Amino acid sequence: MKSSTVVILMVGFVAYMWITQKPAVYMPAGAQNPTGGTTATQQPDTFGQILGAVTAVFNGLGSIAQTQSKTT
Amino acid sequence: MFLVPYQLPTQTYAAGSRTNITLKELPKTLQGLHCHLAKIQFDVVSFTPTFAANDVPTVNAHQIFDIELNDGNGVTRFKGNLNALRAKERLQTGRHRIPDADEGATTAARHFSRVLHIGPPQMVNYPSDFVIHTGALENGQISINHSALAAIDADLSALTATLRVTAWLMLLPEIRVPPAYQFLQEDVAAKSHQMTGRCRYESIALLNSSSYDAISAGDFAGIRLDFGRGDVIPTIDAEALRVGFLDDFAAGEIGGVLGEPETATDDNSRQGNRAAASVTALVATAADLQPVFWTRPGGKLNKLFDAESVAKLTWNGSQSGATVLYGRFLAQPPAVVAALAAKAVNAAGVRPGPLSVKTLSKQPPKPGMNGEFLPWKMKAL
Repeated sequence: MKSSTVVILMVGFVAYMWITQKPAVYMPAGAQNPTGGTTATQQPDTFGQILGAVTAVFNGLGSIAQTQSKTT
Repeated sequence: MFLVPYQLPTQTYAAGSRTNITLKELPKTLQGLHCHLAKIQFDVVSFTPTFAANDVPTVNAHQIFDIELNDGNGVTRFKGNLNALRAKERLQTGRHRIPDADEGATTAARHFSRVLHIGPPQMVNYPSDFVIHTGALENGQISINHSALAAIDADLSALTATLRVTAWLMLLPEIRVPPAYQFLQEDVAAKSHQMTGRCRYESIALLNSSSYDAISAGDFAGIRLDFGRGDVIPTIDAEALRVGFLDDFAAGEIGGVLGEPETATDDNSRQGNRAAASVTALVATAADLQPVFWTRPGGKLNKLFDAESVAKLTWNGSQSGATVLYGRFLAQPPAVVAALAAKAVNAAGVRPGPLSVKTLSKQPPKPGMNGEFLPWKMKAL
């Protein structure tokens, strides 16, 4: 097999792996990204991402300041 | 929408003991859909008392188990014995949802059931706006105190019973984060009660005592309620409040609710005579539950009053002390909503998707709506 064919195949393989494994949300550098299994332990900033989305909705509603703590 | 039952561990009555049922075992997904807790059903089966002289009245029998539902996220969702559930269903429906059992002879077995709804059953979009993802309840538990014999009835010498606990789950294609609803019972030793916390009250009621015994004429008299912006109820006769309640719920002649009676012999409301061991006659409804504040059938979350920090309940009757029941929605800032959603996402093993407020109209929320008291929904990927 010609070396250029090998290079093309390698580039194609890397591109395939990148596209199919691309996470729906950002994952920090160094985090594992298995092909199977849950993402539960692989999304260390799930809370932060959801908090950003919730806060954006709150700000859009013009709700009161978020510094009040919940009392029970 | 159809609710799916899930059997939690059955409890055997043992006087004075305390048992816990963890909610971690509730399934997170079923048939590819997300499981959300909608209600918990408590069936007391084979309630078999041994007594010498007196029947164990229905109210006494409901003292058997004291239930506390903690969601594992800092909110006590429910605290009270089965009587509190019995009162709650009348306060939110205007009548019993589940029938009582007849009282019977010694060593005769009977059974009765009560339901703890995760949100107010009479409000619009119950249960879907109030269900909690079982993943968010990973650390939650139902704590059950088994009462001592004397606390149930002074005449009891022995008692066997079994508590069957069933969780009813709603299956949804998305993750819901509901407003934080709780229903609590608190004893008061004065003629007033201050309830703290930034919240929206859904219902408030007064009881003669934690024994759920009868209220007498003049006990509460004029009742006043203030949510911090002025009187919501500006000292109104307890009897007038009760009639307003009966009318709002169209309670009818049988069953219904009787709080402080108009006179010592107020028997306009009637109920079946469970003490007869065979209900062939009607007697006066038990005067045990005084409605103070309630949400009518079809009530909406957005229309409830805000109590910014303190709600004050007072009365000018002859009774110093009472037991207060109240249901309310606690404020949930963004961090709490996000934490609950993240907990559900991680427990279900999915990825977070687009998140939005769930509105009744299905339209995007309008500026001015307070997200702290609204249900949220998130597509899970």
